[in-house]
Amino acid sequence: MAARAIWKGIIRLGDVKVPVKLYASVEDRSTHFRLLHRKDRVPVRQAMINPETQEVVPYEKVRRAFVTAEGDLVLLNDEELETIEPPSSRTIHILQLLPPRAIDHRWYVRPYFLGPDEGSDGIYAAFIGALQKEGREALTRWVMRKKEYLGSLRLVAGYPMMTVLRHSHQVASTEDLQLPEGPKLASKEIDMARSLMDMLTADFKPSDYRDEYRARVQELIAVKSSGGKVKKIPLRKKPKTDDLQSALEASLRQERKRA
Amino acid sequence: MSPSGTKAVVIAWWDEPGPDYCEYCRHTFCVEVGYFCADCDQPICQHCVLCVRERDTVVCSHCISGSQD
Amino acid sequence: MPDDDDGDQTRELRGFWSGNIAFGLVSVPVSLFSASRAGGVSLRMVDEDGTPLQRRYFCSKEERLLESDEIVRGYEVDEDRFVVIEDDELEAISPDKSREIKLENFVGVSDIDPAYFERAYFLVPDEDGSRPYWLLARVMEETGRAGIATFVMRGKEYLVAIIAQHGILRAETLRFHDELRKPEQVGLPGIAKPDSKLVSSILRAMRKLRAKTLDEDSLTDEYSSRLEKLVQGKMRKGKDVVKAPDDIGPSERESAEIIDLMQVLKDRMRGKEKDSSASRTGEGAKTKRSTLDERSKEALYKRARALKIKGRSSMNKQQLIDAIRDEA
Repeated sequence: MAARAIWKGIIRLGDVKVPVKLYASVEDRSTHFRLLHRKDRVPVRQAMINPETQEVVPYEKVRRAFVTAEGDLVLLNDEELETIEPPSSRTIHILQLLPPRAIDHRWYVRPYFLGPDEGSDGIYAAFIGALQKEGREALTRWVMRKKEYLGSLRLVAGYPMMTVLRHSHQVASTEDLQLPEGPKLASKEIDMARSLMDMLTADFKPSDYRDEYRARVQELIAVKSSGGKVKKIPLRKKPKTDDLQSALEASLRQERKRA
Repeated sequence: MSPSGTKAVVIAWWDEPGPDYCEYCRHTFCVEVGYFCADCDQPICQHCVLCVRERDTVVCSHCISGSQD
Repeated sequence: MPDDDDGDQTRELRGFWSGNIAFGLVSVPVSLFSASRAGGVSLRMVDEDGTPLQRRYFCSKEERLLESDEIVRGYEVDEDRFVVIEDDELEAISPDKSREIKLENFVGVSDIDPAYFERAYFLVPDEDGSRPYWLLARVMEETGRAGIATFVMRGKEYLVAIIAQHGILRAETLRFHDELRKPEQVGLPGIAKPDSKLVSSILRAMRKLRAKTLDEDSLTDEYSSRLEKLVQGKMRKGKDVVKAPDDIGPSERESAEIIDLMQVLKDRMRGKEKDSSASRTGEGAKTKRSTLDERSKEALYKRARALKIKGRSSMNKQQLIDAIRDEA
């Protein structure tokens, strides 16, 4: 079944306009759990309460406030918050065209495919053709449902994929972390670790890995649903490695035997 | 903000506030316990998510009422 | 923009997962901490008078507020019929994968298409100055390799790439292959042969926008800046400003947690023999939030002045904390 478009926008590049539709390219498969009251197994509701009076405050009376570093609360009403919302627009702005991978994957949040909008097949095909020739990826910006987004736009399997990016503030970096001097590592340990890693290195084949756990959660639910009992296995914690060198030697021996 | 005398509560992992924001109830949550609407792909917290049994999928309240743009 | 509704508890840095990284027979105990922080400024929910509110759960059958230990997680098997699922039952489904990330496959980091990446966690060694951790991080970084594995965290199986950068290991969750739709699954049409004139005109427009490196300034969150301006304007006028209760945390709590995490990471990376002077807080995967983050900006500024930190007058709270930590 073809996916439903989640939004419509227009890519703008100088005088060129490319009307597109956004499609989610990730399929969410999580098992849906609910929070229940243990005693009667009724789903619970969220409520906001005044901690002093323990009284529930109805949602329409809930306001929002900014807490300053000095510990003051600045109350904000809905009208004020509306004034800082971005103006609604259908435009997808292209800010930069960058070499492939210039946008590090740590900025990536969630990818979307861009498909043509009604009647835009020609310009859509030309846009793909140009992106292919240019061989770069674009940094984009747009407003969707009153929120500002940044994206990376590139071709994946021949089609434009736009990935929402994190804001700079959202990525914690270790770049400025001045690490203390580490423990001394013997060159033999480094060599052995390298050899072991070499033996375990291959091409990345994503289809080799499958989520086997989800189905087993469903089995667990089925067993419990029909009144069955589930055996609990105690977790064992493995001992840590004390003698690094001999652990590496033994690992190499084991791996050579397997090869 | 808790009144004095309130016992320290250990929050269960599925109930911790996190970096994600639910547009529907305005609470923060951890994306690890959140969902994405199958129709509009917006993040939804575990309280606001709705299950569509026939489609074996989850959606947000806007999409189920058909009011989503 | 996130709201924030439970700044009331003394918060602890708690890992998302703790267990072992296995590389051959080498085993490294680690804890996972989120490497992403909240987008924007978190607002508190208050009532009409400005009293900060607390989120609680309510049982509609008994019509009363519940305590957190009265809540369980369940799955709806039929209309209004639920099966309760406990955390230890979820772990027992796959005890090994719940406690171990087994690195049996390595790939080049650049071989992984970025569309697979979901989110990042820092791997913090549970043991101070862990030699196997340093070794693994060093060899992986030098060879540009990522270790690929699947493991179970919080009731879900994750595909993960362990990547080393700046001497630190990160666990980056990847989407499973069948979670990423292909163009034909989305229903994208075949592409016609493009009109060459149109292509050339788009290319001309593209060339004007060429750049070598990402302009990181364009990644700033403009909504937060506008919100801060709105708040500052109201503060100047003294409009709608209420004194908060003493124990309320500032809106930048999430950043403070990351700053703390960085300090923990640094402490744990340090060898034992060098650790004697370092002040350690907490134990295992837990550590108390340090006092530095709880000070007001004013107090931090005074401290920065005492330490003669350059450029302190133009620093924000976070920068002040960083600068003071560097001096200490």
